[in-house]
Amino acid sequence: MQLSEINKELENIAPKLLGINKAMPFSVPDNYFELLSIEALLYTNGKAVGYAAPDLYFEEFPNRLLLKVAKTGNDTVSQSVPEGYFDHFADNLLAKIKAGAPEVAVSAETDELPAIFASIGKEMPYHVPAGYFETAVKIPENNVDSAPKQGKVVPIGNKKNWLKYAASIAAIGLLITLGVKTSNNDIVPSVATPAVAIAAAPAADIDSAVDSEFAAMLAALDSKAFVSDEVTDSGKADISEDLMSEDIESSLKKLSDKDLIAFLQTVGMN
Amino acid sequence: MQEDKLLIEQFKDPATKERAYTAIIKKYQERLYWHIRRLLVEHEDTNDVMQNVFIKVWNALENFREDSQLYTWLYRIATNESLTFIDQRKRKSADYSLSDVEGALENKIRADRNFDANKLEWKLQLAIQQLPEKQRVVFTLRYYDEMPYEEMSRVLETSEGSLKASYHHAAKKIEDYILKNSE
Repeated sequence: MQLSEINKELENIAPKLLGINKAMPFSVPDNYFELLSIEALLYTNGKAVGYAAPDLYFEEFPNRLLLKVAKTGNDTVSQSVPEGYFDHFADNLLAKIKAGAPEVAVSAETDELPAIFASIGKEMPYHVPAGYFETAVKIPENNVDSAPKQGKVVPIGNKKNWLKYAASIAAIGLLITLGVKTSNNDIVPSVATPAVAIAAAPAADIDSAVDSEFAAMLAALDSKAFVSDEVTDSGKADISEDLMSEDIESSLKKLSDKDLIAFLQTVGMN
Repeated sequence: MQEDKLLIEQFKDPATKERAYTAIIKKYQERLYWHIRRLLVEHEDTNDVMQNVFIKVWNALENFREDSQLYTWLYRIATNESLTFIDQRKRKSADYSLSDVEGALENKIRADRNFDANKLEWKLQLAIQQLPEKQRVVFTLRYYDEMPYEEMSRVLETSEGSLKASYHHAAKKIEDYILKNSE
């Protein structure tokens, strides 16, 4: 009844599975089932099972398990220490060490190995290319200098180098700080040196200031003072009449602050 | 079931304990063996888990309250031990990717000397190994052990509805795998 229900259920879910034989397809090792009849491999509803179990596995299983359980029950016995073991442990160990115990122990262990190991030998079965050890690790003689070379000594933790690095980092930091400040027009440098003040001022302001100062200066001075002899010789009596404002600006840009200040001092404007 | 009740009583009596224990093992060893083996594939692994299961039985049967049947209780221990064994195997193989560990059982099946990828029985075994662990357990209990959902619910401590859904998903996945690998 239950079987038909299960098959009906399976038919509704996955009909393809109904056509598959439920027998397990795993191989049975030759010596596993000598004493296990086919009936022993059949479980409920008579399904054959193809998995393998070792010979006498089921017959011996309860006994093996009982032995194991008995062993776990006798833990106190198995964990007991021979009488006087700890009293003589140190003396026995020292005596073994003095007598060269390790060598004796190894030879004793090898003597106890099954005889089959004697016939096997200890030769490694792996292959090494012919002449590998003669060529692969041989150092060419002509590449070896007779006199050892003096190795380059690199000092660790050179203080001078660290000072250099620190000074460089500080200088870079200062430049970056100034650059950030000057890039922002709203920020006025706290240090009121002429160079910093000029650098901090907007370019348009500088131009207009220079223009107005220059115009005032021209108005106050005799324009001929700007005319060289050469120009006078060329017949241009009043050069200021021919000067365009662009030309004046261009000339001023080429003029350094230092020259301008020197000029103003010479003409008594400073 | 009366026989199980008697065996449990005998087990609780020190004079008949070992005899009852042996009788319980003989009665259930094959069913449990195949249940575990379907999950672990290899005999050696199955044998290890079988021993763990029956050692637990030895230690715990004395306190068995008989709220459930002995058969159900044994299946629960066997299932839990099998899943624990798989988890331990995964943890030991932490250096490898999870897919490598999950593929190990599939590789064991393919390594069988009689393996024939064209035979449906083998495809079914491979398909079962593709399932998540719990679906694998549900499918094998239902398909091979033909366990009613009510009983399976007691073994796996899961609702019948959830088990039906798991079996449905498992069967569909297996069918899809077989159809896909039959082309």
